Amino acid sequence: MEQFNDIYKQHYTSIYRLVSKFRLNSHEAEDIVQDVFVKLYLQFNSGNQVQYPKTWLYKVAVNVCINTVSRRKETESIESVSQLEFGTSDSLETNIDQNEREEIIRSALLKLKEHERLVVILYSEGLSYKEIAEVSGIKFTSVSQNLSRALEKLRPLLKKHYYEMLNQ
Amino acid sequence: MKCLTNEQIQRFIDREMPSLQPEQFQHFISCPSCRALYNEQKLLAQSIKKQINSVAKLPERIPEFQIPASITHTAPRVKRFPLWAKMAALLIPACFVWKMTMKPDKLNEKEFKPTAESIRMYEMCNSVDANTAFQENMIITTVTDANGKVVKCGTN
Repeated sequence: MEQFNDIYKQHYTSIYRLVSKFRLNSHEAEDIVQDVFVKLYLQFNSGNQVQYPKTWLYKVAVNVCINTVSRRKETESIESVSQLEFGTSDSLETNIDQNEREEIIRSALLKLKEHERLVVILYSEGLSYKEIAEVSGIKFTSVSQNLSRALEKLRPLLKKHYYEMLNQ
Repeated sequence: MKCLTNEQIQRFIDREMPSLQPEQFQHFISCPSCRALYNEQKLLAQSIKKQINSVAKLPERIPEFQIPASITHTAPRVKRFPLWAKMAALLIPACFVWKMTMKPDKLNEKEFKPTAESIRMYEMCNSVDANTAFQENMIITTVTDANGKVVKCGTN
């Protein structure tokens, strides 16, 4: 079990960070992370070898998150957020606080197709294309295609911050 | 040479392209629009990564891993066999025992009651040796009348 403890300490933060990128509150995120590590514990306990624990954990975490989110069936309207995104008033834009900014980003992600969203989230975690393919179940050769398509879709939705960076 | 696609440029940015072909690389060096697209897309990817990561939360601390009580207190799992295996485990020994306990003569031996005709056939077949020459075998000659009554009988 020493091996399990090492993996737990090594990957807890990254799995928590990944889970928090889905629309989940902190309690749900903690429960899911715990759930993921319990699954890993059971694997170790039953004597099964997990060859690549990082990929395994990401895969299980993503599946649990998708199931949780789809079970909840979010019905939030993103209309109000869209108005904020495309607003041209500087005063309005400068007044967007952290929560609203987060809401814009989450809503922009929601406008993507599910596999595109997943690819972008995993990409933001710094995973290689091979790891993204393994975790998401998408073909390795399709990862770059999905990624560039998703980034293109996100460009207008997140243009404010994008231009901020361009001007830096 | 055509310009690189968004997908190719994205793979180039992420260093996921094994290597650009020499002509692609030459084109990339000399094409201002490809280089502009590369710079722009690189910035876009960085920006979006940064923004998505700004949504993420970090745990205040790493809690101790607690093994759930449901796992620790459960009885050790007993391997369950399928129904067909259970049935087979019962039936195979039962058949074996039944066969062993039955009287073998009842099972294997039929009552032997040969008819007179079959005995005659058997004797006749055995009286002729197939290995001896035909001329050496006895030939019985019978002469019958029109009614089938034996008139004369003789051997060679």
